[in-house]
Amino acid sequence: MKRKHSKMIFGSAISLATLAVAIDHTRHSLPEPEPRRIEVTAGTQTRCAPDSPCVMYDQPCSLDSPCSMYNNPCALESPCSIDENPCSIDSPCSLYDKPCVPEDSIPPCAQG
Amino acid sequence: MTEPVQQHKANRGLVLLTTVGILSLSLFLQLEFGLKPALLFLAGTGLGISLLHAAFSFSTAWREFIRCREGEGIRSQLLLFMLASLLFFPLLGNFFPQISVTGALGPVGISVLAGAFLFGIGMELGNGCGSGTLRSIGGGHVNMLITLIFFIIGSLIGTAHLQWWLELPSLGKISLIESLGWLPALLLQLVVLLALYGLVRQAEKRRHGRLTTLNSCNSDRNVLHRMIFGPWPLSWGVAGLLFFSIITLLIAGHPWSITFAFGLWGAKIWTALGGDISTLSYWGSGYPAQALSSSVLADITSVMNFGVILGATLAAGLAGSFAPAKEIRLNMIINAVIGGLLLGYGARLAFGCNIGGLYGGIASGSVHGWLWLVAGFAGTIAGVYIRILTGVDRPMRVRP
Repeated sequence: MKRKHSKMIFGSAISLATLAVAIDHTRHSLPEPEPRRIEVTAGTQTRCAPDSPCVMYDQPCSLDSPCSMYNNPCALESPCSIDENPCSIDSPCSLYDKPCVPEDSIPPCAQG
Repeated sequence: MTEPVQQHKANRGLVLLTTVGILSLSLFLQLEFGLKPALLFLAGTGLGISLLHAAFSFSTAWREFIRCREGEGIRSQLLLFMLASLLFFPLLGNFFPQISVTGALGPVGISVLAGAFLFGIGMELGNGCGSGTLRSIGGGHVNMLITLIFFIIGSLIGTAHLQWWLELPSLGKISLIESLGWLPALLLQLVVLLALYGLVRQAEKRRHGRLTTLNSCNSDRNVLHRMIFGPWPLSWGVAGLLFFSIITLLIAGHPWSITFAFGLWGAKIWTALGGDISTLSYWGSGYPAQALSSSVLADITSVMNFGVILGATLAAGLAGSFAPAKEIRLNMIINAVIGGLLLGYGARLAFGCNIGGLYGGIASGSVHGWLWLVAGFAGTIAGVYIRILTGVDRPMRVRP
């Protein structure tokens, strides 16, 4: 295969991948048709409804919580995988069921 | 004395385009998700540059050792494991209580044993491991696109079967740090790694009567020039990988991993095409469910993988080696398809590839990392012979 062909194939592949990522990101960034965010105030602390848009980066799995995407991905390769981990399937930490941290240790909710 | 390798001119257009791409994506990540993912993306870029400039490869290094006892690649990996253990163990053992990080622990069981063995075969057939596939994609190797596509498919199939594999016998997770304390565990691990280093060194010296140093580099460029445009000696590759691995551990809170993202990409593509994964328990809850229902840019492994690819592309542009002309034969395509499937499936079962399972596991003091090493190496031996049987490689010459 000539170098020119390799470059053309790669250009196409990267363009396609970029488009796919953009579509995926846009699809997940679209606003909810109805506001589903429910704020539960506990003292000065607030957390968000499990499937609200703020879950990923704000609450209850905020950037600084043990369960957030960027702190602790709980992927199978990660230490907090299926068993014995705070984010396992059966643990109280399932992201869409319960808060990732005990109620009394929920960090302050990000504003907005 | 070997002649210096021919130096190519940097591909300025590609370097400019990639630099703009890296800066734009890191800025976007920072605006959209915060500083942490942006930094991790840049760490991925650094890993990609290190991998490409130093030609740091697990699959080639293991194959060269098995075929002709060329051991510098494996020695560089063992050196990386030793240095990483020195840095990771105190952090994971809470020697610095203000730094909160977790290691890559996996179960010591049939799942990891079988997965790493399959991954070892796949690594030789597909001509790349987890990091090697990303590096080669970034370097513009068209044949690796085939491997990557089937790597992704294999990962998705692996997620469908994982539950069954996890029900097979297992000793559970065993952490050397938790069992022995971080200092005794570190000393034990260093002794074993040093012994392995000595064995490889001895085998290499016996076969060739000499040792290739990890600092050797066939280039007449000065140090600064080589730093930017490559090529790097393996020792620089070790330093780069070590630096960005520790950065990843400190920022992300866990070791560098790659292949979770492949399964995620597969699941996203499959659902976008109308496929149904609702019956797969793996994607039903916890982090996988969260990642599936979020932007791919919200997943740390995906973001770091994009960084590795773009970093390798930048390095290939600087080295003038992007998209090399290459003959692609039918048997290579078939091997890439089978290899890719085995890589993906094996990585899922083994709790990670050569990075997440092997490097991350060993550096975290997890016994599953050692099991990965043994099973993965056995699989690589099988893969080397399959390459010969399928005509990809010449038969080995028997040497005393």
